[in-house]
Amino acid sequence: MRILLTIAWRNVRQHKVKTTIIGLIMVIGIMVLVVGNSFMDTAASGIERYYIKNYTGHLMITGQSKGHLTLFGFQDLTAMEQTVPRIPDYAEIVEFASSLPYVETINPQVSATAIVSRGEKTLGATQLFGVVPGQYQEMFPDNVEILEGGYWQPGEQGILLNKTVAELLEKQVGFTFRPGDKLLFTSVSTHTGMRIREVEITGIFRFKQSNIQLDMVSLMDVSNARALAGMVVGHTDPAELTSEEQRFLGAIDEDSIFDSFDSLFTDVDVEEPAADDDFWFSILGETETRDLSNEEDTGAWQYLLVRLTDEKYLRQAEADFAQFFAERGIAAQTRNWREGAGALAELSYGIKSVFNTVVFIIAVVAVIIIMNTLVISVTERMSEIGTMRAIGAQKSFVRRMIVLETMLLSGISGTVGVAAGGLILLILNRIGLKASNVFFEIIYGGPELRPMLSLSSVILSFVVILAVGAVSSAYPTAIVMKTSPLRAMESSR
Amino acid sequence: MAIVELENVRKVYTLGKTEVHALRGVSFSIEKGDFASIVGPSGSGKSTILNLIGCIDQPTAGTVSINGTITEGLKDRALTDLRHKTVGFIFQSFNLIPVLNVYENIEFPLLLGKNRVNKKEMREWIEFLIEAVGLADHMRHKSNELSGGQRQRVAIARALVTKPEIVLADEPTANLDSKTGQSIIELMKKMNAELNTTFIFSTHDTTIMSIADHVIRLLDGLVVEDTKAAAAAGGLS
Repeated sequence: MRILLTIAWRNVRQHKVKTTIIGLIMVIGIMVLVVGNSFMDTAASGIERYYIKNYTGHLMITGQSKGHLTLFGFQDLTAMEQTVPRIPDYAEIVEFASSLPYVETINPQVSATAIVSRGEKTLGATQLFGVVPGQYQEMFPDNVEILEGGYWQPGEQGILLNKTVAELLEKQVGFTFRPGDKLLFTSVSTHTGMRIREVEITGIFRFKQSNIQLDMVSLMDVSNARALAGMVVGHTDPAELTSEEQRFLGAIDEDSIFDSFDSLFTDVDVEEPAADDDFWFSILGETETRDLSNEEDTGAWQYLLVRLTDEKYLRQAEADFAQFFAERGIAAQTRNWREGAGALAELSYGIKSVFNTVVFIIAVVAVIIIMNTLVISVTERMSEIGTMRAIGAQKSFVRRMIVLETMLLSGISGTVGVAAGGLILLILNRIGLKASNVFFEIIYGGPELRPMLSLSSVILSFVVILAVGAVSSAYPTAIVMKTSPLRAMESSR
Repeated sequence: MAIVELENVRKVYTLGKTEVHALRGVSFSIEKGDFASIVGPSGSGKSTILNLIGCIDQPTAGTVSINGTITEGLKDRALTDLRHKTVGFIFQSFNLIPVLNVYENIEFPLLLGKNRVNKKEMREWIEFLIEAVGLADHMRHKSNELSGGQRQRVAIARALVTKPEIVLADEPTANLDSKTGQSIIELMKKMNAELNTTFIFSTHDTTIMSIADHVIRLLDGLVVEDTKAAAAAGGLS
């Protein structure tokens, strides 16, 4: 082995042109790989931290469904075919989740999309998260910054309007929204028809850690959110009728109801109310009693977000919940934070996949160039290799020599590449990369990125470089293996 | 005792559609300790015979026996093993490994074997050979820092380092001036005498062939003379 290393090292040093060509390709390739992957890893971990900490938690429990269900609803074509299912046996699930030692906190949510209008003017669409303020604050304590007003009081209704949404709406109407102002929210669904709710703004807020998707999210009381989400609200307990009520119902003769259709079409005089906004708002506003009855824990929730004490329990949590659902026959499922986070998080990971594809293409090109250079180098050394074979070197020795030389060169280039990449990352980390537009904000997972050298990118780089080295040396090695010791004699003459 | 035996050996090369009969039925034997010279004009089959004895080529017909082993049918690994243990090579163009120094070039064949070698003994043996070929002052020099004669001395030491039964030298003086060539042949003769190693070399230099104690003369792929002498008169000065 010592002699192999000696020959390999000295050949690397002696064949400067070959070493420079191959070395440079590998150094640049590895540098790009390290910087790119560290960059992506930092962004990914930022995205992960940011999503888990600020609006998804580690796990999302939902009712069973097909399709790509996110916190924003279905984000695929199944959105046309189905509504977000409610979580069945919600109370049981909450009880189980609360009993798990690694579950830190939970937060139920409802998601709806609605068109916002004021008076007769339609202002745009917004995303709504129906939440219970106390639980939401406990789950995401650091991300909601109240700029004006506050959450609605328990038992009351209201919307905490996102500052970005507010500003967009303000541009339309030309005045500043303040707590106490009212907005009309309309949702339309092929399944549940049209729902209209008037909701009072109780406060203006912003997500401290946000992005273009989150900027469109406002927090709403769950009662209105359920209505806008098209969920069936109300209790499902059987009514306890008194004996008098039962007797009354029993006395009704169905035939007497339907024996004459005339009664259905009888003209009646109706005193038309003044159909102005105040009238409709006064009717819609008189829902307090019903809404109070729908106050939380009716079981009508779409999402239960779970934050764990540590991310290491994620797999265990998924397994425990799956087992629980299976044992109890509950048609619910867990989804991880990435599914919950929706398109933007997926886009970030998609960009990483594109990057990895580009890296793969670069690696293939590098392999071809390096292979050609090695073939030339090996061809020049046929006499030397033939001599080795003649004086007793087995084929395996020669193969090891060529592979070792390539690996040595790869290893040195890889180390230099990693060091150079690390230096670039250090500089970028100090400077910080500001997202100049939305595209970069998506990639960065926020407005600024300070990339850090990640261990995984270093390991990946060495794996790639060694693979490139091994693949590149395969063909030259095959040529060498066919070299007869006769070549030594022939070249000698 | 014959260390090399060739019996009715034929070798046919195919060059395109043409068949070249390099050897047309060659038979001879070389005894252990011989200082044998294979002579003949270009194309007579000298190199082909050396290739066959060196186990780097196989005959088309006939048998080649090296130290009692018939080479026919041996696989590459066994042939390489036989070469390593039995044959040392001295090439016309020296064929030293350029990245290794004198000591390392001579040491190289010893590192190829499977048997563990006592490092101290190995070092002493290599240093003895370096001393014997007169390169003690150039031990750490690379081949490009040596003259042609010095390089061929390194090649001789390298050929002898594994203590082979046979050393094959393909026109070892062809790339050297006559004086240096003479000194190289004298060195080979000296090693032949001291180590009782069989030397077989090809040449068409009549001065050098006169030193040989066994001359095999070839012409058009046939042995036309096979002469053994007790000693070459006036070969060593």
